[in-house]
Amino acid sequence: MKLSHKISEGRLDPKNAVPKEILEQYPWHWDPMKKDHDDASCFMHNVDTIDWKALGDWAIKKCNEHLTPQKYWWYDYKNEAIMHANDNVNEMPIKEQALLALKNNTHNEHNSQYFKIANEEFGEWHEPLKKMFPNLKENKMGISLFVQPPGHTIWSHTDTYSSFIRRTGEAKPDYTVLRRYMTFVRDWDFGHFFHYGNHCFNQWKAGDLWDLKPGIYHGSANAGINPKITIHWSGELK
Amino acid sequence: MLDNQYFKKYLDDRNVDLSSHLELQKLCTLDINPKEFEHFAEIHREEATKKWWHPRPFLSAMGNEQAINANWIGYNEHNTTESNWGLDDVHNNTLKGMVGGKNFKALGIDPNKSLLRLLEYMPGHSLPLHCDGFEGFERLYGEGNATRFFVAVSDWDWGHVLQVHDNIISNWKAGDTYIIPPDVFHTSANFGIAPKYTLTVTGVRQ
Repeated sequence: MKLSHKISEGRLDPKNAVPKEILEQYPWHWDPMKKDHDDASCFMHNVDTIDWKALGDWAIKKCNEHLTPQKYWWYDYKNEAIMHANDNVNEMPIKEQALLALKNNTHNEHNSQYFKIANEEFGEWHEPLKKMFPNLKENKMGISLFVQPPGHTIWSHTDTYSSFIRRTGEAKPDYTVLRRYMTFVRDWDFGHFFHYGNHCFNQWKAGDLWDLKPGIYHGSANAGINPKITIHWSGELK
Repeated sequence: MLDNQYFKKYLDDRNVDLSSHLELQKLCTLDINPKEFEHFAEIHREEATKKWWHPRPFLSAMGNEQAINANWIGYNEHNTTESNWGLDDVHNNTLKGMVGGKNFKALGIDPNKSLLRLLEYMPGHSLPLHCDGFEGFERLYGEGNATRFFVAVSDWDWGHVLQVHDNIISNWKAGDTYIIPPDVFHTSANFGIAPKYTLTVTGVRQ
């Protein structure tokens, strides 16, 4: 299992891979050793208007119908393409960050898998989930539920709203009006990791809602034994 | 999808309850030079022991049961590969020299009766939930009644984490040291973009 590439001798600085407009519009400290930060201030509140247990159970059942994680990341060395499952995302603003994680690095299709349920696929859950965010334009809003199996990670990154761009067909996103929110569907468990900047979440409760402010580097992993489930709302502010 | 009934039963049989709190404090910060350890890994890369989480004939029954349970729920060579140095006598002695007598004193262990391993986890790889079997130390010294220390080798970077029961250990400085209590389940992951270097030190506290 020899590495097929050399390990970078210098520190890889992810800041350099983030789109310039995000860095300008949402300045952040970009220092992993910084202690006096407010990265945890994005917690909003616990939402108890949704039956999270029923939604989590429903999502697992839905995944079990096909057993195939729809999403995973890999680098196609032959075609020099960054691939998100079957989608070439070379033209997406996530490109440079993905290159750091995937090309000559060890995130790949075997350790980045997740199941995804999005938008209309939510069925009867769609309307109540949409209604949670009246501040987002209804026609410019996407909701995704991720089921991350044990042994898989979502490499650290700054959101560039690639899925949202694909869904809305916008050529260039206006990051000043885009927002993302996230809720944990089940209580925190062994091996469920999420770092938001320099803040590492723990002991979360189902329904805990976080405002994932743009521009902050974050990622997640599941090194436990139960699936980790999160829901993400992305949209344009009214 | 995820048939984790066996792993769950394994934890239930051992009364592992995440809702109970385990008090865990940093023990100390060793005075180490991260660059020295990272350089050691680089120049001895070809001699590293490479392993991934799976049953092996020299593990204890407990270790193998944990590995089987982990494999059953999706852990494999693609997400649990570790490079380590220290099982080899020459490497172990070199690492002991790099740690130095002052630091062994801070840990309260005899360097001549200790086992060091420098671990490298590349991005995307995790150490699944487990508790330590001390098989390596027992093979060397004929006893398993030892203390396991976790030592951060590099300053913390995004995506580098350790969980010890209900404690998340992160945001560390190079040299930060924690005791992993025996029979306590723990797990770690690297979902950042840089390799994660840590040191496990095993020895009998005096």
